[in-house]
Amino acid sequence: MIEVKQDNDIVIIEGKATYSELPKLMDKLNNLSKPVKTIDITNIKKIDTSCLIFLLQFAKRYAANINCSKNDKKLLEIVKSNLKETTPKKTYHDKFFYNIGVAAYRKLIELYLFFGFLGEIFIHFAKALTHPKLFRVKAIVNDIEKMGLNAVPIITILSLLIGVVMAYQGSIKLKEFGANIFIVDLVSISITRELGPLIVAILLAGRSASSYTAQIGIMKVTEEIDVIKTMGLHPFDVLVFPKIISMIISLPLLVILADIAGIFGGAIVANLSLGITYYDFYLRLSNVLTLHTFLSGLIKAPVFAFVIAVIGCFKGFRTSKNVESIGENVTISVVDGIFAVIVIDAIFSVVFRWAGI
Amino acid sequence: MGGNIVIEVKNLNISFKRKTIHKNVNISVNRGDIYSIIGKSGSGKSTLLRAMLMLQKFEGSIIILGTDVRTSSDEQKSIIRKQCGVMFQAASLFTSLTIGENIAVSLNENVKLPKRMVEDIVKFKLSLVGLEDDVYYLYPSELSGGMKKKAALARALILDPQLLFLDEPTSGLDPVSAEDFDKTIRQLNKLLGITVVMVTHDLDSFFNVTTRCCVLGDKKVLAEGTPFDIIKTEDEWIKKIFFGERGIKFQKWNQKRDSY
Repeated sequence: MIEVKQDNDIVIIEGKATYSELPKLMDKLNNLSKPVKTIDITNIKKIDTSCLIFLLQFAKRYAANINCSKNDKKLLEIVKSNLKETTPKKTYHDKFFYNIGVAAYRKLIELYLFFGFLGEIFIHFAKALTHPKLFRVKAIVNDIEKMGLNAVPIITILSLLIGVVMAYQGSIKLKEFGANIFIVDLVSISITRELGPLIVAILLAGRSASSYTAQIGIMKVTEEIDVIKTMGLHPFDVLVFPKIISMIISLPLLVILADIAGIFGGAIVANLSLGITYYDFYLRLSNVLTLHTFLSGLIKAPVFAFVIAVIGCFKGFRTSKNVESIGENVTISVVDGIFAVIVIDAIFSVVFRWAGI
Repeated sequence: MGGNIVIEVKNLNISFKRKTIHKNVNISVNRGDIYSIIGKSGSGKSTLLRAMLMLQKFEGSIIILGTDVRTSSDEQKSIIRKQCGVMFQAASLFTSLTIGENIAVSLNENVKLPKRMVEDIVKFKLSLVGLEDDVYYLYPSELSGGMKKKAALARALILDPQLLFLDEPTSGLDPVSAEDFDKTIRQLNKLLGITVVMVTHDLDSFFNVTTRCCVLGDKKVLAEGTPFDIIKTEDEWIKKIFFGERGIKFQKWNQKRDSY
């Protein structure tokens, strides 16, 4: 507890003056009737440096003296000798347009750097083609297992459910028209052309891009990237290429799996709610689902894979040396990955339309 | 809180799964000591420190400032924690905060003060540990290893603790910075009356600052007392420290000590 008494121009402070009492002390002293000539803390039980700092500043403002016991005198001297005049920092006012400009500029720089990264990858890839040893088969296989094989269950279940939901929603309308068999067209074409590749790509953007960013980002913080460089290796060979190649291999395979699972989900619903036997479904399917429908979905997969892997790695390398930036970059890499996948999908649709596929 | 003993460790047992780290460890730290814990790598020095900081489960009792930390309530623990400043081996500054923000964290958590006041207090602490004002706005990644350690010390000191725990404070510092650091610790001990408990491997630092110490080994305390008492102990390893090649410094220290 702290007590402040005033006797004309003498202020007497008693009790315990520690940091937890400092707000009270400040309040009381600032509300005293001035002038104050002497501050008496001889009877104080305990005082810590933070209170002394304030007392010294206060004493200086009113050119007052501080009386204190011998013990506290030592402490006071230490505080006095270490206390410097501080100049208040410039405060930035909220500048709305300035902030917009800065944000836009940062985005542009980010885009510029991304294209730089992309260019570096291509140049380095061309170099690596002449030295096939640079492709690390072990790392690629390992990555395929982690990012491809381990994603099989979730992708199977997800696509199966999408197929089921779509068939079910479609079946209600189709039943009204008695066009039951067209359920096959609906499910098979929409899944192979759009939904299959899109679901797999979005899932992997969340699953793989985030883990790539976190891995490379933490390696950067712990200076492991620098270690790789000093060993005469190129971080691209060790970290980036295996990831890109394994994604390009595993994503199309997962798309095929998703197609199969989705169509099978459709077949189940067609059987249960529309009474189409599996054999009828299969017969109709082999008529409807042409190779080029299937391929026009599959062709997107490697492109998605490349974009997801590159964005994941790029954001990892963009991490700065603090923990917060890892979290930030992981978030951005997932969001950017999904965004890029959808934009590219839209571009493909337009291009296919023009080409009449 | 009466008496001069600020930390008392009684019958401490610590084991990880099947491995026993400490068996019946008893040590006591007096007010105003600079207490060093030394011992081989893996003898559980840091574990002992972590137990005192309530970061490690243990059997037995550790009494800090008159409170048994094992049986005390959370409120009591938090009162003790506010009396303890800790500096970890790797400095462990929050990387996403500036040095100034790092140091001010526990002050801001405990009291509401005007920004200016906090800044003044933080800058005072920076000056106390021998850092310039301009590091205030820098991030930990922009500082050298020695500066990071000093900043971590300033952070440990922000609430004017009675107890200061240091885990290998001088490891990774150049000899001059290490000496500076020792000087700072001695000053803090002398001027602010802070009791210091530290784990160290650094013989120079050990001879420079220690007033009492204990040697850990074989899961127990091999010896406890002033460095002068310690060297009289008949133990292979302790003799190696002080009379081995590196221990020659001890001779010099002994001469200096006599001249006081």
